[in-house]
Amino acid sequence: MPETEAKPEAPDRKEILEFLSEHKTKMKLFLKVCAHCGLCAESCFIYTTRGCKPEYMPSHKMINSIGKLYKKKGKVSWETFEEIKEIVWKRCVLCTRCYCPLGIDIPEMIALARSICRSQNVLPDFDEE
Amino acid sequence: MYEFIRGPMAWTCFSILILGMIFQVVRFFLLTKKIQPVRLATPPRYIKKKFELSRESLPSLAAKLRVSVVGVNPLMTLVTIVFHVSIIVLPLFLMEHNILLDVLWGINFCPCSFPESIADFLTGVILACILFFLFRRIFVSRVRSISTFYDYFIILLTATPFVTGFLAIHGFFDYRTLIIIHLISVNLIMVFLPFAKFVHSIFFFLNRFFIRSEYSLSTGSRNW
Repeated sequence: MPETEAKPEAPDRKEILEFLSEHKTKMKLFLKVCAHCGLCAESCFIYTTRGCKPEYMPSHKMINSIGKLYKKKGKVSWETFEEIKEIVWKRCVLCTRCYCPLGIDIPEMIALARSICRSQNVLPDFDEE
Repeated sequence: MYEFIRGPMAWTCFSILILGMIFQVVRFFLLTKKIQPVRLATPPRYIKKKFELSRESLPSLAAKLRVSVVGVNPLMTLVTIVFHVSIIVLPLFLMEHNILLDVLWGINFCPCSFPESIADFLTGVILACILFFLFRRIFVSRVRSISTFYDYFIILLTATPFVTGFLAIHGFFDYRTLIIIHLISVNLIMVFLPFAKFVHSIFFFLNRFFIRSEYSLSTGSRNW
C-alpha cells in the first residue's frame, strides 16, 4: 500500500454537502445575521498583532471559509480548499475570544469549516517551518 | 396604484413582517438549548451578579466598557445607537403619521408627536448616520473587504423612506411620486426585515438577552 493515498481529482462534493446540510439552518442564519460591520476585528488577537490586516478579521475568516463553501454549495476546487485551509488552520486558533455584537458564534463556524477540511484530508502543515 | 400600495400591498407586507418575526423567534428557541445546571458549584467570583450602579461598581464598569466594543470603537457605537433609536422613534412620533392614524382608525398619538423642527432634526441625524456607515464601508479597508453590493443596497433602501418623506413634507418635487416611492421602500423593508440582513434587528435582542456569554445583557439561560 502506498504511503500516501492519491488525491482525488476534485473534493468530494457529496461529503461536503452532508456536512453543510447537517448545520444548514444555523450556518445560513449566522451568515445572514452578519451585518458586515467589522466590529469583531479588534476582538481577535491575531488581527491586532498582525498589522490589522482585513484577512485576519473574524467575520472575514467566517465569510471566506464556511461562507464560501455554503455559497458555492460545496462545489469547490482544491485551490479554494487551499485558501480555506490557510484561513481555518493558520489565521484562527479557535481561542473563542472573538466577539460579535450581534451574537454570531464565529468559532463554531470556523470549527465547522475545519471539520469539512478534515473530511477532505485538507490538514494543517505541521512540518512547515 | 397609490391605493394598491397603501392598501393590500402594505397589509400583505405588514403580515409578512409580523409572521416572519414570529417565525424567527420560534426558530431561535428551536435552534438554541436551555443551559443545563452545572453540578459543581460556581466559584463566587464567577457568579454573575445583578448589576447595581454605585460608586464602588463604577471602576469595574469602566474597565468592562474599555475592553468592550464601546471602548474599542466609541464613535461607531455612538453612531449605531443614535441611528437605531432614531429610526424607530421618528416614524412612531412623526406628526404626519399620527394624523393618518387618527384619520384612519381614530388612534390619537398627536399630543406626543414631534414638532416639525425635531422631526427634521432627527431626519438629518439619521441621514448623517447613514452617510457615516456608507463612508465607513467605502473607506475602512476591513469593512470594505467584506462588503458586497447587497450591503450598499441595504443602506440605500434604509435611506429611501427618510429622504422621500422629508422631500414630500417640504414640498420638493412631485408629492405623489415621492409618497409612492416612500411607501414602496417601507413595504420592502417590512418584507426584508425578518428574512434578509435586517434580521439582525431581531437576533440582536434574542442573542444579547437569551444567550449566555461574557457580553450578554442579562444572565442568559440558553446556548447555541
